[in-house]
Amino acid sequence: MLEARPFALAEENPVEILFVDSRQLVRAGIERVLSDSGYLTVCGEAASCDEAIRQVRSSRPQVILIHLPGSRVDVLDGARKLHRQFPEVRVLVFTDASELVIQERLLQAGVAGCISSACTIEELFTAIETVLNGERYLSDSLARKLAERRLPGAETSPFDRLTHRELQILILVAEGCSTERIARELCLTRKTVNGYRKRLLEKFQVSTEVALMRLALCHGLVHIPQFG
Amino acid sequence: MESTDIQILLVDHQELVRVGLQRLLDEEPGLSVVGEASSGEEAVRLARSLKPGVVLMDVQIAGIGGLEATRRMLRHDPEIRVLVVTPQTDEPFPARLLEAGAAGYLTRNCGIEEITDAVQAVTSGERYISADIARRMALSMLPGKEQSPFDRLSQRELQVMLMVAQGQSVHEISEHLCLSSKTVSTYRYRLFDKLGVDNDVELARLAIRHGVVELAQLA
Repeated sequence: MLEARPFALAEENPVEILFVDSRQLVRAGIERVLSDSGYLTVCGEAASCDEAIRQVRSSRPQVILIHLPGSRVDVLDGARKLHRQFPEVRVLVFTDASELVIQERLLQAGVAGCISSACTIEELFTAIETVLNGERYLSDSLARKLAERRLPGAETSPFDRLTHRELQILILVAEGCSTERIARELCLTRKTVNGYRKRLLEKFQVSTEVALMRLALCHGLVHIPQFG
Repeated sequence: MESTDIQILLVDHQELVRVGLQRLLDEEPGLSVVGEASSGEEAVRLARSLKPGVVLMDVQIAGIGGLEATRRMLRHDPEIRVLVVTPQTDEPFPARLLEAGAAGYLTRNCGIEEITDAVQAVTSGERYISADIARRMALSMLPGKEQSPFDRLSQRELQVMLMVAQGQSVHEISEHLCLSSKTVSTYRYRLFDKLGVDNDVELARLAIRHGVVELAQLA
């Protein structure tokens, strides 16, 4: 893509943002900060990625910011769907430093960038400029960890070998979902889900799903809040 | 900032969330954000130096965490009003924070109006617990229910629970405890029943959340 001048944020030409966050208070606060900056206009807001998909056509954002707590399945699937349906819109996802596997999957799925949820507003501006210049953005802390995984001799993640479907089911199992619930959420038969569950135990060479859950927890695929 | 404003200290680990919340609160008449902190230690230090009327506290923060920070603030100044605003709605979080002396507990799904109401309420000495959390707490504190669901487990049940939560199979547990697989399964189902969970993974997650199984034991 040839451009005369790299894109830079400017008040005369604010960037249209669609902001996705399920928590009303957090969404309202961050949207206020974004639009008060003058560089950005919040042209749409959504509580989920599915809601965002319905919004994109009418609000026509340049960038979609996904800031979702809760199940990583929602983030992975939502970001994938948004990118596939609207490849011209740049998708930026907030992730935690512990979520290496999720970040790799998101980047493979074509999202424009992952930004640390601990970022400052200035870093968010930089990220938005970067992705609008057609580049990928990764927060420093995330980039460093991902780069380490690329070095020769680095441990490969046992999750690398999983298909998207296997990863979805692994996360749902680790969240404690029943076969019925997983089948319903992913539109699969119970038999298929049970087949996946059995195969996951074999792939990871563990005898119980609790052991699977603990692996998923250590790799940032699920989170369990605990007193610090 | 008016001198009669309620002074607020904002504690949250995410800077963007803090900045956003500050912007919204400062627009509310009668409220002023006087400081913000991202860790438990910083929050305790700022509470001492700034002497805010109300602390808006997240639970999952760096360092000593929200619970310990709340305890220390109240030990130093029993009059300080700590209002917990957090995504953590599941027990044991609300019960432990309120026991530690927090004046209120709100989820992040609330709007700015509810925060404002809650700040006013706790400042005038009342407690404020958002409706969804109050409902859960009311149900969990019915007579016959203990503080922690793990309190009412027998020694043997506790043993089986820990082994399940460590990822051991029924077969392994039965060998360790010299019990039949059938007996171990009977214990598991009794545990599910007593703890209100449906499967081993939920059981393990509950144990981790309550700190019965340490995360350090996980790796």
